[in-house]
Amino acid sequence: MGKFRDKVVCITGSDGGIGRVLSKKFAAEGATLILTSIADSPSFEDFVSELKSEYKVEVYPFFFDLTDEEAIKEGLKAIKALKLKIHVLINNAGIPHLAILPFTRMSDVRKVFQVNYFAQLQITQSLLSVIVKDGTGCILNAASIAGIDGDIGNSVYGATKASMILMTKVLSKELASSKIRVNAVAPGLTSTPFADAMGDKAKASMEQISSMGRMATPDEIANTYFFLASDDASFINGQVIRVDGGVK
Amino acid sequence: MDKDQILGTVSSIVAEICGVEKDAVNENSTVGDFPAWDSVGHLSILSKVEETYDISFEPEEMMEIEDVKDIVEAVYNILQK
Repeated sequence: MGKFRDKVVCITGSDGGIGRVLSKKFAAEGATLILTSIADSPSFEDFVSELKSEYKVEVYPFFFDLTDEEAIKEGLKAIKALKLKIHVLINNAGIPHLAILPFTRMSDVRKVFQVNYFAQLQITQSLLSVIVKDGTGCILNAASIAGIDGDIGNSVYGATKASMILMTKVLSKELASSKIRVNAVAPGLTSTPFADAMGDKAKASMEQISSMGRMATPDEIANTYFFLASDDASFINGQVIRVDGGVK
Repeated sequence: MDKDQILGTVSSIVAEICGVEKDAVNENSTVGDFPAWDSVGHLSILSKVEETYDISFEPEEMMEIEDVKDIVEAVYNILQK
């Protein structure tokens, strides 16, 4: 009997490094999955088939681009048409950005905020009515230590993650009268294609400042989400959990 | 379905979720009138209304809904489409 049997878990950015590990972890515990990603691909189709056959769970994939407000709206309409109560929403999708201010384009600022914050806000707002349905559930937001530490080059990406942290705290209070918990996970740099997109220099400098001298594995981050989503974390609310191995 | 019928159903939903007698609910009942009609209670009411009528409110529509009258109007308009 899986811990998430009869529970519905919705994961955005499910085709990314952490997203795939999260999907597997919840599927292994019997969850019905609603997975969103920017676009379908043969590799993602294989991944979804694998989840269904290996764990015998229902998986509903949806594809929409988080830079497009109307596409998000249509995608959410389709998700709500499933008529499923969502027990866990993981706002995991995000795009990287690393540049010092003189080399930061305003078009990039808008795009990173749209994907990393506005889209997450829109998704959460729209799905709230299906999350509150029976008064239990949780929302988990992808933050980052970049949204807390204010390191060089993070004026944009870090600000989007700081916004996610604030949304987490505010929403945890706004939903306080229900049994819905809202928390955030703030990873350090994690060994995923997302980290590769930041470039070798950024990866090397993150490893340097890490007390443990390495990046996190996607499993180490997913484990934290999994714990926060479970009843084991029933009294943790409005918190931001750093998963960075310690910083020098 | 006419607005009076919708009003009856919506009032029952509000009464059930807010834990009050149906007689205590009228078309002017609004968020904050009953202790359980807070922001979460509001979402629960709208969610139950959606389920009952097999409809889906747009986020923009939800933002305009403040009282029972608004809910009835929104449901009626959707059912007319």
